[in-house]
Amino acid sequence: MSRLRDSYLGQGWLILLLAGAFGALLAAVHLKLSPRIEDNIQAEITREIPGLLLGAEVLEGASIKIEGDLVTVEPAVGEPRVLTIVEQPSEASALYRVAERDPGHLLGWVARGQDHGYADVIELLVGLTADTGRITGIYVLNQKETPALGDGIVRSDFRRHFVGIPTDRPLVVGADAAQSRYPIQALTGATVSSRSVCKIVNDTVALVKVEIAEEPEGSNARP
Amino acid sequence: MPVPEPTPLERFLNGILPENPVYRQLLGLCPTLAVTAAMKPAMTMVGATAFVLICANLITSLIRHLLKPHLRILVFTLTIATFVTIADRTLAAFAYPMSKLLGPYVPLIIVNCMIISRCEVCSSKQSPKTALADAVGVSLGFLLALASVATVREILGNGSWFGIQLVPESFPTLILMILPPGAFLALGSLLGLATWLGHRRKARASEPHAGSA
Amino acid sequence: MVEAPNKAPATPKKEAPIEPGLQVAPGPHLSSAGLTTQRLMVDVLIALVPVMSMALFLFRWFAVLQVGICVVSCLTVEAITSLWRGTRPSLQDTSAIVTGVILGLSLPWSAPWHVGVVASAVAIGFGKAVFGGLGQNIFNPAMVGRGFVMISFASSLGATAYVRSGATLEILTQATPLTAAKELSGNVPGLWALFVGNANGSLGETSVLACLVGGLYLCLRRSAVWQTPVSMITSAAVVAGIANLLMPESPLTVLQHLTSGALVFSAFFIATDPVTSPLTERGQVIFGAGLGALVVIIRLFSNYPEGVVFAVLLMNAVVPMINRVTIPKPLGGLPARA
Repeated sequence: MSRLRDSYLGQGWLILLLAGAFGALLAAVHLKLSPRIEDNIQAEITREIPGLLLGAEVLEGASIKIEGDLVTVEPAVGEPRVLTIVEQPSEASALYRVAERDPGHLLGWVARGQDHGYADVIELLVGLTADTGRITGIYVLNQKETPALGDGIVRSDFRRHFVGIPTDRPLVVGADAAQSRYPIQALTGATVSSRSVCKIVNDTVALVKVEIAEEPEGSNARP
Repeated sequence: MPVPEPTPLERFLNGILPENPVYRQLLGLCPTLAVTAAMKPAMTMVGATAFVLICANLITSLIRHLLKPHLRILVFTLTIATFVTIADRTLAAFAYPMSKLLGPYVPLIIVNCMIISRCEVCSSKQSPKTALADAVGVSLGFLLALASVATVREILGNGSWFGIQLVPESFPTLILMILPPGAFLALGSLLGLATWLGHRRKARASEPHAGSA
Repeated sequence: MVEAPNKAPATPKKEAPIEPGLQVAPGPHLSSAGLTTQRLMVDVLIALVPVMSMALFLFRWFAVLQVGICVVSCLTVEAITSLWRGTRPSLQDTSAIVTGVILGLSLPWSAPWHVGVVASAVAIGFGKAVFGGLGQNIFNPAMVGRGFVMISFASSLGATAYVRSGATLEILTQATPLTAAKELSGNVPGLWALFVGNANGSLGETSVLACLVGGLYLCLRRSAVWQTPVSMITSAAVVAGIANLLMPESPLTVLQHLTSGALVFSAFFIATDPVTSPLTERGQVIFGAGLGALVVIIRLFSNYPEGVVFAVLLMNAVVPMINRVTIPKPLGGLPARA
């Protein structure tokens, strides 16, 4: 009897039992809530796509209406623009082909990519021009970096560094960037977070470029 | 000499003011400083923390006779982490913008010492009824603390309360108060005020019986 | 060495019986019985007369108004906090007036009245009273108040606050020298204009000449130590010189660095505050050197045109450490070894 009580099982059965019960509880919660969370994220992605491709200035004071795949951007001044967003099959978490509805020309691509940051997974949206030659902007979907240091990656003054950078060679951060023509300034005290963001952008861009090059549509869209 | 069992009412009342988690025990200071720039995130944080605290207190109280002393912390952490994850997912599903605003601070409820200290001090030794009363009392105390800090900061720093504009937009506000240093200034001043009021009450209470003590 | 003849610690209400032995009291520590806190503070006020006259000449009634608001608010808050803490109002040592004058002189002429009031309340309340009154505070009260309003009311104290096109006073139409340098718009006033003070800026900082006259008076009266200002200005010059060697396109020469902004004003009137500066001469030199270097570094590398406030607050924070490493060896004592 005492041997059973001193065994690992005798000591830890409560923890194992609780772990099983809590695991089941979490699984149930996940099953119930994850579609809703995914919808929330999808809505956020759709809302952010116009800004990534048209530039943050266009969105200032603009109202955005979302109906299915159609996004209508009504800027404070000028004509409203209607964008069609179509999700493409891709190895990246998601790849969206964005075109203007009325002239029907391809506006660009937005890809979702993720990798480990300093604390947890960082998820990004990366906007690319129609010929995938330049980055049009990035947006941080999800991050749990250190407050006040690493979470600076969500700020627009950090994200602005990425706008307009050619994709012909990988981005480099901080100290490695001395020779690069387009160095990304690392956030103070958050080199790891900054490096992770660059890595995600590089990986996502590389993946998307290969995938789009394989499709005939991508090459047709070259202006 | 056996210590008399505290009654649920006693535990409930103690948690609010006499043993206020923030002003008396100085626990849970991270959320008190980090999410109190405005009332809305502060109250969301209180809600999530109260949910975790009540659930964790109830569960540990129910299994208190099965706990082994050297494994109890493990059980507490397991329980707390589970309910924090549930709270985090629920917020992400039903209050997505708030969940993004609070960011890492919701998962960080796991390391809020206020909760594990209630598990250790109260619920692992008391009946579920007392543990529940204790959790609700401490949650109210936490609510009081976060509400006071957030009220001071939002009104001084932004001229609003719960997002409702109280003073005209043109009125100069102390922007520093909604920045991180403002959290320390507000908490420090309120802590001083609370201690001062406490001392004064104690002095008043002891005056008539000065001789007997 | 450690004695404060003028002032007993304010916190205990009852008179403790004087026991033989070492008495430890908070600063300012004065070495002669004739030197009281009050005399020291009055000296500072006298030394500020040239600066105030210059401010009056340049900014007219704006200067009177700003300094007046700050002094009255500082005295009021000092009285309130002393009463609340149950100590005698410590108004007669005039330190609150000094804080008010320095605070007022560090503000721009255009700052609205609430800026001065909030700055004074924070300076006396959070800068001094919460630490336990004069002698107990870690940070220079005037700079605490100035820093608070600088961040809180960015639009009332930013670069644009100094300039008003179409003002009747001509200097008010120019950008401050350091802002002009920061924005690389050229047009930094000449050295002589900067030295005499014919330039825009905070009320008290414009004239290096006036600051030097007042500062010399303070040093000659031994009301301020000379080590801190000298080492602060020297180190600012050295750092500015190195920066100019590395970045030859810099818009400010070394001398322009020294004569623009609040560098000289703070060297004599802020850095020499006996409460928040180190006790030993060696410490004062280190303190001044750190201040001068930080001021220039903040000017060059931060978004703010001037760095005096942050430099003073940062260096105040390390004063206890400076004090610890510069403990003097007692005469005939053994070298301090661990």
